[in-house]
Amino acid sequence: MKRIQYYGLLRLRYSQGTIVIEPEPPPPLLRFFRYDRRVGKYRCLSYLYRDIVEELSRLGLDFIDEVLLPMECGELSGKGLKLRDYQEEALNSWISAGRRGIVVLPPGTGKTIVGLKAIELTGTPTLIVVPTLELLDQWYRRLRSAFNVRLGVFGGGEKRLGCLTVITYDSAYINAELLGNRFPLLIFDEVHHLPSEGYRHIAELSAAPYRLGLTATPEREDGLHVHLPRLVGPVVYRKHVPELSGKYLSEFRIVRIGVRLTEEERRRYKELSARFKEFFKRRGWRLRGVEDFERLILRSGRDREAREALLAWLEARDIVLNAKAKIEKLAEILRWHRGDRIIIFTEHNKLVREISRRFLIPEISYKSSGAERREVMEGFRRGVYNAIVTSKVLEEGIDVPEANVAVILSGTGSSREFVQRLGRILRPREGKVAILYEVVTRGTKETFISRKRRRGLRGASELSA
Amino acid sequence: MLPSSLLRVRIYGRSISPSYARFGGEELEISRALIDLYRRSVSGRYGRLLEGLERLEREAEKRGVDYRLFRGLNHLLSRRLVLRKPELPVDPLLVRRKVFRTVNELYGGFVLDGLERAEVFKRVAAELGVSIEDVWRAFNAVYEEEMIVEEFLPPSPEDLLREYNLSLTQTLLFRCLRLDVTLDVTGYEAKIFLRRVKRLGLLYMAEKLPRGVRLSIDGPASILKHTERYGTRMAKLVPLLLHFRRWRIEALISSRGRRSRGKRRFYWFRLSDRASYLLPRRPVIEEELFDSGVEEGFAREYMRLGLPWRLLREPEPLVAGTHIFIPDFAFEHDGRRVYLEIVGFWTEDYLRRKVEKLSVLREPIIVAIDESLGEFKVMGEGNIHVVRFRGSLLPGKVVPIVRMLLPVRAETRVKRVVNVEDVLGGELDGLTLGELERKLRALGFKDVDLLESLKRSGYRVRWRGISPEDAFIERVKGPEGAG
Repeated sequence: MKRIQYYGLLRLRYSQGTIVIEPEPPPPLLRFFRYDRRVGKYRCLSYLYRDIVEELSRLGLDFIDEVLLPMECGELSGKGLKLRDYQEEALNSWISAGRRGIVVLPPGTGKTIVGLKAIELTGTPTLIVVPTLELLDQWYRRLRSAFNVRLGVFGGGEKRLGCLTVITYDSAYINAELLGNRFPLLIFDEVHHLPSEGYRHIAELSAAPYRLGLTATPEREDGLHVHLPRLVGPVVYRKHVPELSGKYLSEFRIVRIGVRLTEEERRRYKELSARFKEFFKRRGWRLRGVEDFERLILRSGRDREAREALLAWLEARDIVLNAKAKIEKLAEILRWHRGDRIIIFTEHNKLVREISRRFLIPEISYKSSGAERREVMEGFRRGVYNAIVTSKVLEEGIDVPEANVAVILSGTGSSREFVQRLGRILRPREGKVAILYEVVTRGTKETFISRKRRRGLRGASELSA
Repeated sequence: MLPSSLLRVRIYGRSISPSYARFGGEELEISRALIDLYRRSVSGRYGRLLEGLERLEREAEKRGVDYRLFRGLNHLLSRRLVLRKPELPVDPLLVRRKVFRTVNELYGGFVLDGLERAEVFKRVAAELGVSIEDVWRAFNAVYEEEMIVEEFLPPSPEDLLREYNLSLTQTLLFRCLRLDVTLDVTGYEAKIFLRRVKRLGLLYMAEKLPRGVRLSIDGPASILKHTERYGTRMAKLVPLLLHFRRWRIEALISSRGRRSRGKRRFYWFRLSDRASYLLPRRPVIEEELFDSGVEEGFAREYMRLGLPWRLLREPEPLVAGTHIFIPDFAFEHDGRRVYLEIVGFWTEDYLRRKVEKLSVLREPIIVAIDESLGEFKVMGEGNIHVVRFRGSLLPGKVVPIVRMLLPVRAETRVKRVVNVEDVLGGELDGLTLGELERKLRALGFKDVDLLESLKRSGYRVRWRGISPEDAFIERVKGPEGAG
């Protein structure tokens, strides 16, 4: 008899990103909690909230639940949210998985609308976490046209909470304790960012029972995606580029163009490469992969020779990525495509600026002011500007309808980056064939970089002409 | 604080420490050179400063200066810089918008040669009624390099290095999992420190030491996972320590270093006030003597009575269970103490929790509660003695309890009166009462009635606070003073 009385007093409350249970957890729930002698209570990370509630209900135990304190919210009925068949399928799989999990769709196939529909069908205050300020703007616009409730923006200098709030990963990390019990639904756009050591806290310190992750490629090179099922849920739906190409994605061609270093560049490049290789040989080290390279970077802090070798490597890379011939080749490509809608991608900001100044093409870089970025994006979207040049900023998720030419002047070996960049020109239109140019410096490391990044296409090459 | 990539550390076995800059040699030299470069840049283009920095870094590196030191110092200096936009006849953003639009209208998105370019600039200049140069300058003015250095607040080269050392310390603490702070400070200082800990969303556990207290600080989730989440917040506690005279920290640092080949390793980082000379100097925190009028009134009235129990304001922090408690006053006699806590505003719930918290104290405490706010049921028990007052607390309510808890032995009441000038053989001006007592004690004089002795020797005491250390002895002017 005493037991029942005792458990009847159970109380769950939220405390700075954690859940505290009072007076103490019944034995079947002990595995979730740990005793915190600092306050004399039992505590666990907030993301276990749903499991705890389900377990308590399964055991038929009464408890006072003071965990969630959802934002105030009006009616969440969406306007103009019509789904394509695969989007419908994706959403249904997410719902049958208990409103937890990840939807994987190629860039440009409308992940945002899946998120919007999920908000409508779940009908609760929602926090949408995005990686860039461009996506912050974009989600905000989409939410405004779909819902008639108070919206919030957090990040890029703004700090306003609303029933539906868009926030950057950085701000969400910093303010995790503040947000953790206010939004029963979490949407992670570009969810592959989430498993990093820091960002993980956003999911762990939140009690949200419902979670949706959106991405084109959940896998990470560092293998941290193994944390995703715990943080968001498993992949519940997945489609690849080839499966949607033609109808929902534009057809495309990839054209690889080689350029040569100038005489002077080549001489310097060789000199630097030799210096770099010589260093490795002298130390009896071998350069097999990222790990050896990381060792060099770490070493360079206190070891002068290592530092010099690293500097040589960086300069050699700069020469290759920013080869003079690339700019000339770009001029040629532009001449073929006057009047087309063009996005030019580079690795470094320096090159962005050079191109912007020489061809008078508006740039979008993290150095340009918020006002100008917004103006340029809007202008490109509306067709006032035909061409833009950017470094990393535009890779992820941004809608740039109608763009049909992409030029990659330089980039990393990341296949995700490649797929994302390609995705920017794949919005379908009647009769459209998108073209992606990849300008690569011949006879240098860049040919390997290019080969590496293309692995991301997975079965798409047969579609290219 | 610095970007983590600029952190420089030394590792010996299980301990880790920042590579602090010393105030001499190459390090002082580079600090001076950097400050000079910044100073000379004022009212010039920011771009020129950036070029100068690049040159200076290359030079420094040739002389063997660690680039991380150079960049760290530069990072700190750049925050002392004020930039402004260059003055232009037209708004840069407007010019750029016009240029890009014209390019699109005339040439479909981009220009391919000098002729097309010239045409665009000519048109925009004509449209805005300014020169082509103005258009070109405005077009470029959005870039950082085109900003003008308006102001620079130069530190001294040594102070820059001190600031750098503090920043290094904080940067190392970014990866701190738990911070143990040992403080030997006044109650007031402890109060400020704990308020900060709380406001940063951190938790602590306190432990009493023979001298001072040890606080073990981390965050709510720390017991649930190894997390560096609270590191930045713990780093924010360090500048506060610099205001204290006696402190020590021991930080558990997680590091993924060259030695551990990417695996997580744990190290101890230890630092104390003995390293103060490496760090910025901060003023000692001035005490606000009283939180409220009730406390001030009580202290004033009590001091007037000249009772044998010495009254101490916010004595050293006490440990109640795992938490710190700082009472408002202590009465001291013969090395033993009774504490007094005055409760002005309260709710029933607050009182209940307060008494619960105090019940684990080992020391006797008097809790004076203002009953003008209403009825309360809380009763004293064990070491807790409850006293009621209305509006202002008079000593008469408290003294009987103090007398009961700290009985004054009869013999200590008989005090000697001595000629202090003869005994010490010199002037007493400027000494404090505390110092005088210690001097006499050292000479074998115990149980001296200090106040009476001073009076007879022609001195009086000026109280600037309530402790003997704040009571200054001065000679009484005039003929009656020559005793």
